[in-house]
Amino acid sequence: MAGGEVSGKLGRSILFPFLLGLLTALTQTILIRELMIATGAFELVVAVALSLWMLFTGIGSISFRFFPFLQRGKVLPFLLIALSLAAVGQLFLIAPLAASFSPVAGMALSIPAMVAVAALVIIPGCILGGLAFPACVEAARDRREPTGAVYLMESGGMAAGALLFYLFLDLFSPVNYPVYRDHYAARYFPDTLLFSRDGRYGRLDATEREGQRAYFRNGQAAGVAGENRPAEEFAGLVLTQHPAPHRIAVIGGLLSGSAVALAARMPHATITVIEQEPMLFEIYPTDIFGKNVILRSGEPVAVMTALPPQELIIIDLPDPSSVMLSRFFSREFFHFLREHNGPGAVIVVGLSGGRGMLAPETAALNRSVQKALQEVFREVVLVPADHHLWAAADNDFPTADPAVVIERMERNRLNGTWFNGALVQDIFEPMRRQLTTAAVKRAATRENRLLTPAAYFETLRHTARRLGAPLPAVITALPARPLFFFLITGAFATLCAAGIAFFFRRRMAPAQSGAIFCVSGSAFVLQLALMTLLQVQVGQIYHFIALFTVSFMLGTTAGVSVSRMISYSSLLPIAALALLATALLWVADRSLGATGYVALDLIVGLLGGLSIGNLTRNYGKERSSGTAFYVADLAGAALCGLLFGAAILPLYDLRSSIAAAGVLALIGMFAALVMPRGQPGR
Amino acid sequence: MNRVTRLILVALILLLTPALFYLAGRSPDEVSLLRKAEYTVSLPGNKVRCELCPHFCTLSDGQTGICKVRRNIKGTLYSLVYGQPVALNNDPVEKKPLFHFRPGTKTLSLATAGCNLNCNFCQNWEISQATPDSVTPYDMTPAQVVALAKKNGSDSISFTYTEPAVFFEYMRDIAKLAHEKRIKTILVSCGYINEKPLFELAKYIDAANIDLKGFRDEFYRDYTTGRLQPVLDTLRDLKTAGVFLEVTNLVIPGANDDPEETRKLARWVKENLGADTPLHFSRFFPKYKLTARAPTPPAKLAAARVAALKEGLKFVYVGNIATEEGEDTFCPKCKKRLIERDGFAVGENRLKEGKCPFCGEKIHGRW
Repeated sequence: MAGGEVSGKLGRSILFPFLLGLLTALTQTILIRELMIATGAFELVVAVALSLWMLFTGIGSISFRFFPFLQRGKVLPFLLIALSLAAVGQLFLIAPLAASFSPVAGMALSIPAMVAVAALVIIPGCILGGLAFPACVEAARDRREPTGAVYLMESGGMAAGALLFYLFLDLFSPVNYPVYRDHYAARYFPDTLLFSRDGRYGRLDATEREGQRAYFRNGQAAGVAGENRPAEEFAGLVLTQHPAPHRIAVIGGLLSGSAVALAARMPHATITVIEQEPMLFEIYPTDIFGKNVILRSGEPVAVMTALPPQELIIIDLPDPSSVMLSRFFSREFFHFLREHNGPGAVIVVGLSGGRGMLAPETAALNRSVQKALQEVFREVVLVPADHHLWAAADNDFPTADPAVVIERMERNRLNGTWFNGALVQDIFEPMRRQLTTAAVKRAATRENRLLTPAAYFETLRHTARRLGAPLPAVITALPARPLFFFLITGAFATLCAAGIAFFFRRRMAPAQSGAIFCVSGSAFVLQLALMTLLQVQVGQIYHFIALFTVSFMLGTTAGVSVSRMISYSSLLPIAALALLATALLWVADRSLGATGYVALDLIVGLLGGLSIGNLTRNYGKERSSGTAFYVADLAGAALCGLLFGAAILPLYDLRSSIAAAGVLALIGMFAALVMPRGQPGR
Repeated sequence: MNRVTRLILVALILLLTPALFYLAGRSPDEVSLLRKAEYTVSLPGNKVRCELCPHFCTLSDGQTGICKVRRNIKGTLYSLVYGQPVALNNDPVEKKPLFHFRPGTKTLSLATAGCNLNCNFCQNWEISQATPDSVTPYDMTPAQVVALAKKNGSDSISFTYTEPAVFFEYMRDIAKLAHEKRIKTILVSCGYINEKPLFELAKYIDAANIDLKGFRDEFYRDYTTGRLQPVLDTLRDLKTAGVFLEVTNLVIPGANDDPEETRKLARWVKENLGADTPLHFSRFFPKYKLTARAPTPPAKLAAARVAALKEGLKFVYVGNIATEEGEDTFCPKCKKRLIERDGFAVGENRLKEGKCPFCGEKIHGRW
């Protein structure tokens, strides 16, 4: 009897919160990926889903007190079973919900519809998860510092969940299960889904219809195998930017078909095709290439470094819709290419164009890349084709003279059924060239750099407009008013911290909740900043996201554990967070390697855990104290993550984001020092 | 500070924050020259009904029509885009596509912002779905447009890219002036315009390519927010008005590519516009919102062409794709190749005074 009671308590206070964390980490990772694909691969959905996640979990947590029966420990297993069922059910909700907002299969949702779908999909699991945390705290009431103990175990569970996902991606990838894949296939109507695979950089799908095989990257059309008019045009134009290239490197270009088109036109040149995603070479019919084509998967900087200097380097990637992609359009990357390949090389960069019909965002995107190229190369030339090409070099090879282009086209036998003299004349038609150049020149934007991803911001603006929610003028005007933004958002964050402290003053000392809000915010923003640094400095991200969660949550778990063993002032770890942010500012422009960033992430988690663990020590065992803590923690991460992690980065730069994390830590210290520290409710 | 004061303070800050954001982002108002819109009916209460297109938007003061470019300002409807083109190019006429109208010539192509349809597959959505204040226009009077065409050696002026009906007044004035200067005019349109303005416009238009996007009303409703019948009416009206006509159908997989639908479309073109009306089947590429749909399989386009020829149409082309003969003109009688085309390149043109040099058959077109 006694043994059973002990194991029951152990189960309630250790196992359940651990399971809660594990389920949360797995569900969050899987759902966000599926949502992203269903809503048009817009990265904003990640921020939207995470904020909604935290919002509804907070609501679930607050609602806990309205369900007295949940305070009985025996209900907890059922709550977790319901959460597991919801996690699976939610996956099957995405497609019908997305379809209900659109009359047409495969159509990208508008941003309001995207938010609605994300919210509706997320609600059941989040409410259940939100209810489960205070229920776990309630079940662990007999333990010393129950909130801290439950937080500790939940963090450990999240770390375990993320690690499982990282190690067994195939197991947790829903498209590996025929039931889900059949359900998922409907989005590619009328094509037949041939296969679907999750990889390091997202999902790749292939469909077939009437002998045509099409590829989709994260749910968006990426190209077709075989004959391809845009690829022919791209390859033809690129090859005429160098008189006679013998060593050509293409970064990307496999799915778009340009690698095939280049290989077909240059049988005597050595062409190295570099793709980051190794899976691409497994799914693509690479046997169509001749011996002159070398296929390399890996991080482009590393692959290029190992190659001898190339004469023509082609960047054929999607527009920089992420920070990771933005780096390939940055001044630093162009500088690397120039240094590695020497003055004889020509770099050609593909970007969205519009054949004389430039949207302001497209013009600004082109301008940000043009500025970066002009900082590095002597000659920068625009080829205003369907897909704009920017040719840059320290020699006179790049040309916008149609006569020279036609001469090179004929000499190298590049002309075909589509790419011919008439097309060249049309592309370089004087009025188009003049108007397009003028439109790009007058676009107000910044140079695209690693830590100032202006091209990423312009691509976000472009996508937002495509999805029916153009960014308001106030947002686009903000880059010119950094002080204003910092004052307003800083005041807003302080106000929110004070609001949370005020709202929960009867359950938690304002100094505690206010500081928890700020520390959570600061730690989360730092984590986002480190992830971004990893993307821009090292270039890998998708398979590291789960590892980042693991390191962060491990750090948090360790921090909370230490906080339960030794006594110290809460101000110390918070001050250390502020110092870490300051140090990061100094080293932001240097690569610390993947290990360095993961280690720093662990330290951020550790400092967060040390702060929060200590702040929850004097928590008492009042009913619903877990709710107050959980809401402060979630709100801090959600709000600050959105404002300072997701919004500042494209608007300003990564350093602003890191600085904001430091300032948040200082506000947390201020809250811990200045706000009332008495017993809750007094 | 008591609780009420604190609450008031919080409320004030929350209200002031967005106001400050608004002030920070506000740009100075730009004065634009507005032109009174035509084909409108005044209604009580400062309302206006626009009768330019089949939407018949009824607009209260300050409201803008579905097209995004015609606004009711204090009871009068104004065009917000008169003299404000956002795209200007000197294109080959084959790009419109017009294959039987002065092949090998250049056409000054222009568009303003706005469109009265919202096709989720729009290939020019950046300007067609834009509001006038979200794009940067060139200020150009009709006289300046015509002068630019002259300067660039353009054989014609095309109203294209977006839906020209939405800049009706500007288009009509340019077309009128162009005719005075002996420059041809081309309308490239979705055909979503009412009869009266269309007949007025047709007086100044030489050729048109009308986008018949599908042949089912459900397709028009789901994919374009328009309807089929008004487009069919426009096609008949243009024929009646004597405008030289070609028809384009963008073949979208799973949307309008059913073989029976294609056959019906071709049959309708033959019966209502004539067997010699050129019909273009164009390849779809994923754009705008329809980005999870594969491009049209080449086999589907080839099959559509064969089906339309079998229905009795004499000139059927495939576009937006490189093919061996899909863009070439053949004599419908002796089947000999008359005009070779590769993309925008017009190769050998064997026509002699608009006739087949092999059998003497008169080939429909304005050569």
